Amino acid sequence: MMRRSHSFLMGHIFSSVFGMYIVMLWVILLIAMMGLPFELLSIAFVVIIIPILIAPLRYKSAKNRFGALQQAGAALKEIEDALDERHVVPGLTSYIFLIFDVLRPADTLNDVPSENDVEKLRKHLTNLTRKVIIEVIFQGALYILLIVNFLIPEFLSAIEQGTPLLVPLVFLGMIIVILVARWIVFFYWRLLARRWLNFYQGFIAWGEELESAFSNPTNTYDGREPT
Amino acid sequence: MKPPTIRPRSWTPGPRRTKYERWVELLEACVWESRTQSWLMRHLGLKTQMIKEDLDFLVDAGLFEQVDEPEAGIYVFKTTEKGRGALDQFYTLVTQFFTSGHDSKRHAVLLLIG
Repeated sequence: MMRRSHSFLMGHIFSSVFGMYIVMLWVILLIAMMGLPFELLSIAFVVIIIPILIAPLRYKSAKNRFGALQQAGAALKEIEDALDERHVVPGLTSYIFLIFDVLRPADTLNDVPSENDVEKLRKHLTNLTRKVIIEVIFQGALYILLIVNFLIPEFLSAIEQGTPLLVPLVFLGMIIVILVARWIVFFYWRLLARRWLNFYQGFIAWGEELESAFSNPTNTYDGREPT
Repeated sequence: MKPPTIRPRSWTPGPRRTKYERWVELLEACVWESRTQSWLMRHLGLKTQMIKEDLDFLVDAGLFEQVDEPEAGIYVFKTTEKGRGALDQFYTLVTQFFTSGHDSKRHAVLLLIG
């Protein structure tokens, strides 16, 4: 599970990195399109420049995400060192809470979590899923346009002129690999996030039990009814 | 079993910790050794007002005990048996979570095809 939790963090980071890869792909496509007529090249420039302009806006979020991974790495190292020496691992609790932090949407700063907050987190996850689906469909539509308007004509002219098809094939491969990888990483991340939410729900129940026990000090926390 | 020594962390705790998360960290920090309020503040990254509220709750609930009488503003805290019980419950939750993930591959396939 420890490896899976790290995969969860990696997935969290890679959702941001994928954005950068997509921008890079557009840049590569731009270079390949240099042979297009001027009108089509101008359209390609506009299409390419949009994600490049958006990229700086993603910098802060990417930096925060990399920071979380860096902290988690340090915590994991601390846990591994502790595992060699002892059975109780103090850093584990803090590591778990760091994962909670990653899960929370940026605008939830509530001090006291509740069942309602778990629902909010679930809703946040659903919204995120919807955003990624829209993003992938949008990217897919752009790629289809490029394939139809650029790669297929390139294929046909290459076949007619007898020139090698390596470059268009590489582009096609990259497009498919990136889209499929994006889907797999996101859904794996989502699966792990849902598991962490279930754990979080259990943790809130634990905290609420502590609070209710405060008003009932005879509770001994040993699972038995107070005598 | 040799009690572990909780070392200062090389990474900072999350700034958005809930009070339940702070309680667990406090209970854990004082389970093997008594700790002063300033030690807890420094190593758990808690602010004065926040730690006062948390310690008040934990002491009043009987989860923490104040080992020494306060002398010149120095307070020493230790997790009680009741606090260890609460921490055990949390560890049980963690253990259940970390050991019950074997069917996630099946879920992943269902999610991908569904």
